Amino acid sequence: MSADVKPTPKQALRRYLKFFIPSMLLYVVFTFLAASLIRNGIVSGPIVYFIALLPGVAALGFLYAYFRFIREADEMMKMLQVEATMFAVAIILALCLTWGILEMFVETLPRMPVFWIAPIYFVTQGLAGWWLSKKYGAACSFL
Amino acid sequence: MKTTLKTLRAAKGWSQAALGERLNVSRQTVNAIETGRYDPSLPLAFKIARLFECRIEDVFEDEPAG
Repeated sequence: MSADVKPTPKQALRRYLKFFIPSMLLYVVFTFLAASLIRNGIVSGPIVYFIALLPGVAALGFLYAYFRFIREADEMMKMLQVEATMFAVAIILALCLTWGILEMFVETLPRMPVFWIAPIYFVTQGLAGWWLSKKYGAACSFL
Repeated sequence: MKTTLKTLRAAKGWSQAALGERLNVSRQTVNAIETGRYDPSLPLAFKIARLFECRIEDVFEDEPAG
């Protein structure tokens, strides 16, 4: 589809899911594969870096799908998604700027693995999207 | 913002989804505009007015704050 032809909301959703679902599945498979291979010591040496990077490559796929969806969505859906994203970013930044600073000064505080930032972000964004969908009377923010 | 969009749409016998297709927006967006939960952008407001062959003021009425 050429860039100057804006897809319909349904086409935009279809394009989003067509790219999002496979890349998300790939991300899950790569994550479990990497954890299994590395933790069980099946791989070692420089290949560990390569395998550990695979989930990140798959994540680029679904992040790109979401970015494209926001660009192609109609104006209200775009606003709704951007508001949900901003809310999630604010929560993540607040967490980093509080827990992160505490971690620097309180040695006894448990360290939060950086990995958890993404799940916290996605859950927060999902909840914000759900709340905003109700606010604007959209049963589902993606449809 | 008050709107007569629902009345105009009903007069044409269109569903929210059908109007959404004509405006290239989702049914949810049409619903949010009709219920006053979302104020459309100026380009979309013009598009709506053109579709119903009327002025923007015939479709939308500003509600002064307060």
